Amino acid sequence: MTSAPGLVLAREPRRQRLIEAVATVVAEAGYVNLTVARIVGEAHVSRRTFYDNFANPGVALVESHAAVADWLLAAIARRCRDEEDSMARVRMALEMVFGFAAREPRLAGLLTVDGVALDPELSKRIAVTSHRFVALLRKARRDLPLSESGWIEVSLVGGAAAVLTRYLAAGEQQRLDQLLPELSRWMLLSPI
Amino acid sequence: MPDYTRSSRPGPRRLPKDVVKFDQRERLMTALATVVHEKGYERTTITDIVTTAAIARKTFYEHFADREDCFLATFYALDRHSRSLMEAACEREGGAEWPDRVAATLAAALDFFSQNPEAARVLLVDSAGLGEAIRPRVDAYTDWLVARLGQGRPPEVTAGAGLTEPIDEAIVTGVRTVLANRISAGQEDVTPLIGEVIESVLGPYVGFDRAREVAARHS
Repeated sequence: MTSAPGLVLAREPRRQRLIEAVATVVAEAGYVNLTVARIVGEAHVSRRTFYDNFANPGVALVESHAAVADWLLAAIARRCRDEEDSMARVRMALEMVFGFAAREPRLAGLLTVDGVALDPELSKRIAVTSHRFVALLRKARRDLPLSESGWIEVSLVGGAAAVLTRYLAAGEQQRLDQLLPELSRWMLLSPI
Repeated sequence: MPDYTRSSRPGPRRLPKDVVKFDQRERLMTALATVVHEKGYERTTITDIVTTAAIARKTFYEHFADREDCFLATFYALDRHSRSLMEAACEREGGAEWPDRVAATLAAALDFFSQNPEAARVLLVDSAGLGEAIRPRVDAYTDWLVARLGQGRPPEVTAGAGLTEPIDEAIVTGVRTVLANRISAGQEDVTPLIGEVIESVLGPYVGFDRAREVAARHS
C-alpha cells in the first residue's frame, strides 16, 4: 500500500514504507499476527532496515500509531485555525477524520487498533491520542461553554471514535460521509 | 427432582455431577472477574484463575479451552445479568414516558457497575480492544443498549431530533468511554455521574432543559 502524496509520516522513505506496511499487516492479518517477516515482506525492505527503525513489531505498531495521529492532528489544527465559529471547526475536524478514513482506511485503522488491551504500551499511547483529540475538540468548541471535567468532550470523542471503528471494521468507511451532518450537530448540541 | 436431603448413607452427601460442574464453572468465571479486576486481562493467567477459584487446573480445561474462552463466557454471563437488571428497572417505571424509562434503565446500569466493580471491568474496560474473538460479543452488547435506548421512543421525538441509529450508538459508546475511563482510573463508584449521563443521553432528543428535569428525578 502506498499512501497519497503529501501524507508524510516519516522523513525517511523507508521508514514511511515500514509504517504503511504495519498498517497493511494489521488490516489484513490482525494485530496478533504482526511479525517482522510480514512487515518487511510488505515493505520490501531488509530485516536490518526494520531493526534500524524499530526494536520489535510492538514498538513499530506504537510508533506507527503515533506517526498517523501526529499527522492527522496537525492537519486538522492547521485547517481549523481558519474557520470562524465552533460549528464550522467541528464540522471541518470531523470531515477531515472521516475523509482520511475513507481515503486511507488502513492507516486510519492504526488509530483504533483492535487488540490494544493486550499491549499496555499501545493502550497508553492510544489513551494519549484520545486525550489529544479531546483537547482539539475543546478548542474547536471554544465559542461554547466548556466543562471543567471535560466529561462531555470525552464522551463525544469516544462516541465518534466507536462509530468510526465500527464502520472501518465493516469496510463501510465510504458511508461515513452521510453521517457527517448529524454527527457534527450532535457534537455541538451537547451543552455543558 | 430427587430429594438430596434424604440419604440412607452416612457421611457427606454427594451433589449430582451436573450441579458440581455448574458450580465449578461459576466459580471459575467469578475468579476470572476477580483477577481481571485486580490486574487487568492482559496480566491474568490461568494459574491466577484456578488459584483464586481453588479448583484444579485440569478442571479449568474441562470447562474452557483457554483464558479467552473463559473471558468470553464470563462476559456473556455478565452481559445477560446486567440486561435483565436494566429491563426490570425499565419495567418498574410501568406507564411512565420514554425519558423516565430510559433514565431508570441508566440508573440501574450505573448502580450495577458501582456495586460490582469486577463486572464493570469485564463489561466496560477489559473487553474493549481484545481482538476479533470478543468483538462480536461487545458489538452485540452495544447493539442491545442502542435498541433499548430507541425502544418506546415516540416517532415524533425521533423525527424531531433528526438523529439516526449511528448517533444512538455514538451516544451509548460515548457514555461507555467515560465510565471505562473513570473505572480504569480507580473511581469505581460511578453513581454520582447519573445526572450527567441521563442529560447526555436524553438531551439530544428531548432538549437539555427537559433532560435535566428528568435527571433530577432519578439522581
